[in-house]
Amino acid sequence: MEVLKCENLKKKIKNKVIVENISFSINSGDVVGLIGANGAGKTTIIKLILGLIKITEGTVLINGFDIQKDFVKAIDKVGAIVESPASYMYLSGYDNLKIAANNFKNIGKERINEVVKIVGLENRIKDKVSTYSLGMKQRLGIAEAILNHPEFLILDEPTNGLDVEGIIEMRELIKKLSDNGIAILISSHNLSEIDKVCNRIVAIKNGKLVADDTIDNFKLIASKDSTLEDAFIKKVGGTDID
Amino acid sequence: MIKLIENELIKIFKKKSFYLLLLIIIIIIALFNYANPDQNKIFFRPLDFNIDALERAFENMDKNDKFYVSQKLSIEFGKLYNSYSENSWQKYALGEENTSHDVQDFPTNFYQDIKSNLTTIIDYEINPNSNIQKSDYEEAQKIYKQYVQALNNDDWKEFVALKIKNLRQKTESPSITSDEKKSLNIEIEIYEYRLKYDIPFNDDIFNDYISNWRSKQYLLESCLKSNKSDSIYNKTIKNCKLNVALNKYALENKINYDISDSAITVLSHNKVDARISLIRSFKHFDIVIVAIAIYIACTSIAEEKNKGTIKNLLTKPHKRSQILISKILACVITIIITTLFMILVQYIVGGIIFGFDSYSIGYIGYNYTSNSVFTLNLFVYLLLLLLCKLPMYFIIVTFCIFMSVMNNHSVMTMILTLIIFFICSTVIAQWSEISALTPIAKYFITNNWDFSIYLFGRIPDINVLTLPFSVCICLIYEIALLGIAIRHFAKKDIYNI
Repeated sequence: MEVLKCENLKKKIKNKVIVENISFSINSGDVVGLIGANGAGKTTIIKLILGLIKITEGTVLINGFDIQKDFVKAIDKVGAIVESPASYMYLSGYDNLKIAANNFKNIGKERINEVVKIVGLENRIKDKVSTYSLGMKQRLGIAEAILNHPEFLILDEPTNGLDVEGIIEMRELIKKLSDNGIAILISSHNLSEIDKVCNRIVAIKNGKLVADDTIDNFKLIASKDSTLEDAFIKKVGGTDID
Repeated sequence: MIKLIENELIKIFKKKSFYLLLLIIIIIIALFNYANPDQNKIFFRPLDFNIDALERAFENMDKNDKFYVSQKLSIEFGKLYNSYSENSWQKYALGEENTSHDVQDFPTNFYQDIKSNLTTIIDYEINPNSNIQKSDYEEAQKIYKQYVQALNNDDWKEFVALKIKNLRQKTESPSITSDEKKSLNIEIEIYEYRLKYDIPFNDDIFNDYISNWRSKQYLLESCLKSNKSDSIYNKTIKNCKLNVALNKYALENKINYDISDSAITVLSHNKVDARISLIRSFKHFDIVIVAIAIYIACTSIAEEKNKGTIKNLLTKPHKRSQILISKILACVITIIITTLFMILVQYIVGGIIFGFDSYSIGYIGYNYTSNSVFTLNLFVYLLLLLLCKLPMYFIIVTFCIFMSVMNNHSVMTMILTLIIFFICSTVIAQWSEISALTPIAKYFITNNWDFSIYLFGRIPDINVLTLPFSVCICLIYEIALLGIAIRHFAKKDIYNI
């Protein structure tokens, strides 16, 4: 089932085009890696999808609902971490989750406790977020993102600040979620992680979409046995050999 | 929406800074009550007449001098006044005669009956150009002697009864004008009150009430006679009616404390107690509540933007308009709770400093529609006041949210809003009372947002205002501010946070 469909997305600020001709889709169960150099337009695309910034041209459909016309229905089953997780520092982790849960129907204490267990914050959930490490804040952000049983999850640098164990747990969580049919869009500079968890790649260069393919096909851009990093450098990072 | 409001309230009530503000409220209230600025601490005691100086001046005067008679009057009256001991009722009774209550176009001198008769006597005896008839002189002598006798008999009731009798006789005179008759009847009523409610001449709050009643009654008659209709006159008439009714009520009920709810004390012997401090709490601490309202509303959006939590908020299944409205409602609920807290603190602090006894008396007010005094439970009165102030809080909060949406500088927004509020409360309020500016001033929101100006049938200072008009103005401002804020917020791109 098609969860996300972006068609000819364009964002222009004054006379500067930030992104244009961005078209791709994501189906249930897909784990799509959004890659590109710094300033390529990845975060802009994420913000366009989530309605945080206005679309200049094009459409975004989430579960068939237009993000501009039917925002509430479109965003209802979406979870997201954008740029870095932001929480209310003076509140406890639990209070932050309670506030998040209040935005949805039928998300109560049981679900809060469940996501706390999933992200491994049981021992610190009652403490103030200002006392958390970067990794704990990241886990809290993920907990908040999955609170409402999303059908579409957007994760911007999800392994940022996590230790090795945390990264492995994150990988397993992503796999588990995708096995349950959740569509996931991951934006990350950690290409080895992208390689391990994603089945598709959407590559952005200078605000334009340069690749939308499976991981294996994308790697073939460099050579038969190349790594994702090689393909990235060839297609996105420097001169395109093709 | 309820859940959104709940979220906003969690964010507000879990902040340490909110409790710091409540602590500041407690400190301000405690200090204010301890300093007790409303309590009058200076008492004026009239001095004895300096007879020697008056006589020396009189010796050098020419008989044809227009002040010749009045100078002699001062001497003779002064001798009579000085002959009684300090703190005697006689001194206070004569002191009352010596206090002027002149107003424009209305006679006020009938309470100065001793002086009036003494003037007739002196004028006849020493003024070469006197027009006094012998019969009038003999009558004045007889009356004056009766007064002196009553004073020397040390019976104030006899003295008052004599005044009433003499004043009543004057009302029957065929030459009396209608204004003079009105003035005489005012004095007769005042003296009858003394007898009926057993109020001797003294230096106390009951005599303050009588003096205040007398002066306000004369001022009222003068204003009614002038027949002007501008806002200053209307305000004066309203204030006089209120004071006359309350003063009479205080005398009838032997209330030995200040029953005015004005923030400024009007009586020399007012006793500020816990009750009156509680009644005046809105007037004293309104600016504190407004400052807190501005702080909470301005930080509501600004902090979300600065900390980045705004993107969490805007990626949830709510319209941006719902988010703004929930913030406004949560801020107003917080202000209501803060105000109730302020009332509670004032109740406790006032009780500790002044004693809790006075709380047994309720609020004593004046109904302008029925022209009668009424009593009301203190807390019911304060809740009514709070309800009347809600439109003001709504508009201030909406304005702050509006400013926060339009710009990212929360400190500047707070300062600007405080300055605007201060200017509107002082300068604009003063200008609004000028008749020529009324057609414009009636549309200012600050002249319409406090509905307590209509409580109990009051007429607002700007007399063209009515409650339905004020409701409309408030709705227009609220909808306009909210509409612009929602429109701007809905279109706003959220960039680097």
